[in-house]
Amino acid sequence: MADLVSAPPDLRDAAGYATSLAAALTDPSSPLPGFRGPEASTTELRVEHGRALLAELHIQGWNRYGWPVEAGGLGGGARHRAAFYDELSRAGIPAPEQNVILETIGPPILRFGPDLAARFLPACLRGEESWAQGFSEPEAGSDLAALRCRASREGPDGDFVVNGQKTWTTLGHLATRIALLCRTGSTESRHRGLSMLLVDLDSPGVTVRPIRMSTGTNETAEVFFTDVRVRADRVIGEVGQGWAIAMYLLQYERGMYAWMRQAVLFGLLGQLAEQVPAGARENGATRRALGEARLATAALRARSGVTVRRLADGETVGPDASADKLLLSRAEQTVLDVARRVLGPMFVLDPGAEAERWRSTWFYTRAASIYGGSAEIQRGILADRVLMLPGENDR
Amino acid sequence: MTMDTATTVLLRETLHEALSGNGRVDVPAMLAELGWDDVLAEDEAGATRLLFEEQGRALAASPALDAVVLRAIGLAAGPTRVLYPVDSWSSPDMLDGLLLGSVEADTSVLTPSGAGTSATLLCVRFPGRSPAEPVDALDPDAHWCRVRVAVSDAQPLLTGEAASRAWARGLAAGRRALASELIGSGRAVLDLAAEQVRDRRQFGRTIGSFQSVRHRLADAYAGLVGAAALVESAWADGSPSTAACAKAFAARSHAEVLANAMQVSGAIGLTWEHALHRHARRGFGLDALLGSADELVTDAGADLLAGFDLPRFPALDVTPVGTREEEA
Repeated sequence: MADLVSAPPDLRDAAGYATSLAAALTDPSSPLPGFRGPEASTTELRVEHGRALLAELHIQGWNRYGWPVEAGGLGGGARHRAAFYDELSRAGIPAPEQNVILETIGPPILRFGPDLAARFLPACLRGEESWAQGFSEPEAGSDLAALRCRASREGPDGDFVVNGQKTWTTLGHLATRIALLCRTGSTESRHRGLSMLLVDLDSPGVTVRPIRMSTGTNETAEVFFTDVRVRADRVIGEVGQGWAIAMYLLQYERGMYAWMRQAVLFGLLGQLAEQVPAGARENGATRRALGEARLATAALRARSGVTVRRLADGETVGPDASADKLLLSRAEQTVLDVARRVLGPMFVLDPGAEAERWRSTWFYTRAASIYGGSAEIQRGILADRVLMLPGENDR
Repeated sequence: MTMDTATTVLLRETLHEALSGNGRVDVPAMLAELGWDDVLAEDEAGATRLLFEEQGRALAASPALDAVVLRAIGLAAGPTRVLYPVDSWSSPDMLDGLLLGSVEADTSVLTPSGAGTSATLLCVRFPGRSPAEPVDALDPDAHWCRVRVAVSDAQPLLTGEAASRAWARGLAAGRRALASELIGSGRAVLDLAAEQVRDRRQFGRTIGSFQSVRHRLADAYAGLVGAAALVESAWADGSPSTAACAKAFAARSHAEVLANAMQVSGAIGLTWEHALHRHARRGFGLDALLGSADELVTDAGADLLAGFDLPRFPALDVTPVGTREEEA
């Protein structure tokens, strides 16, 4: 299939694309409906499902819309990608797990490292490789600018040698490469002395250990770097530009990621409604609880939709995006708290896979107010930069 | 068509100034002078959101909601005002509800009755033999009246499915407008609280520097942001269920910002002189009009159980590639 400009007219705008994709995902003569849920029970199986799904979607080009031609896509923008996640959810097909990371790292690599994007992004779209995001460290969580993982330049060719540790790296043990935020200046330089490198995780000196989370699955990993050589052409953007790239990235984490999650949450609400025990369906308390969950998700959908639209139009999304993150954690946690209450004994006692999915997802949603800048960090940003309240150290 | 940013800012300022004048503002006259029909023709959604947000912010009282509901119902001619039913008051032979403000002699007022196939949209000439009593216990500044009319004194305009569909359109439009009014009032409350905590000093520092205070207001802000986005969605997808969600979420967000603002403002925020109680009173009233948050939330849950179909997000349905520079 050629690029978008010569694509059939009904695929050039996101609405036409959404309609055509919806038809393709339910076409009984295609293998795509075979990817319908339920979601696999382990992270490893979910990534495997994602690989197979991406490979299949890539044949007809469906997952290439929204990515530029130079990086293996078919053109179009964030609206196409937003429609992609919405339609997968509508069709009951779990979105590829690895796209959670692609959607956060992809846009900054396209923007700041187009050569790297051209080299490596096509393989992500084919499902052949996946990425990880190396931000948090044991001593640098909410205080990200305190990070210590160091990249020193050595030798005449300007290569880097990386030493240090990352943690809570989502899908780290399954990824091919990591976008590593590391220190190239002095420790005192805080956010000014940071750079971002795209590092191969099979490089000598890299050790990855999965972390089993309270969900029961290996969602994240620890990544250790000991004298890992990284070529100079793996810097995303410029040396010293790491913080700016990380901030650019957070817009997508707060925009497109939130959009992906609202699609998932609406899917879960539909499943929950089907699974409400017969005796509880007429119950006013059940209805109110489900209504609260729907309300929180509807607000997330509306707000993240606005933000995705702004990103698609090339606007810079400022501190206001912290509100999106707060709405995300409220929706995530409300939906699963309601599921726990409404499902009652099933959630507590049933040993089956379906009940385990609800339990595991309940624990997963607890992370929403912690990852990508905790709820406390988001409230601080809003207080300082939107509401213009006095700073916490002001007297 | 949508207004550009400069037009929006200008219109907001104009409305803000007109509505916040001391004393009672004759909103319909003010709108007529502004050429409101032309503004609506240009951007109905944007203009309606601005008007009701500023009305809420200024705590202005007006029957502007009537025009919104009537426009959505779309009768060619006829009633110029609306009687809002209060379910717990009405009986099969008596229409009993609220009128926003007073009416002049011989005004034609629209009101719904019944539901589904037995739905009717009725027209009442008013005031006739029906006395209006002021409803001023909670919020005298709203100038609401209670009106009782025998069903036999009213003329049916539409019946059955046609009436039911028409009223559903009116409800959706009215709920979107009320959501905006709640958001406007909520923003005013947030501004009052932010000003208070920036100025008030205790323990040698401004109380707005305490994390618990900052976080309460930031949470309230996020709720208002979500409510505003939902109103925008409700206009864009036109669906009654999104309009209902928007009103319910706006009412919840209003309650949240109010609770947090009352807490951080201390005793001064609880005085008669302070505007917080007037926003509380107005908020409770707006919540009660056209379905309270509790009722709408219960309906939203029932919808889900009945197999609710999520509307496709029309915000995605925009300018084709090639005419706009998309993100690289």
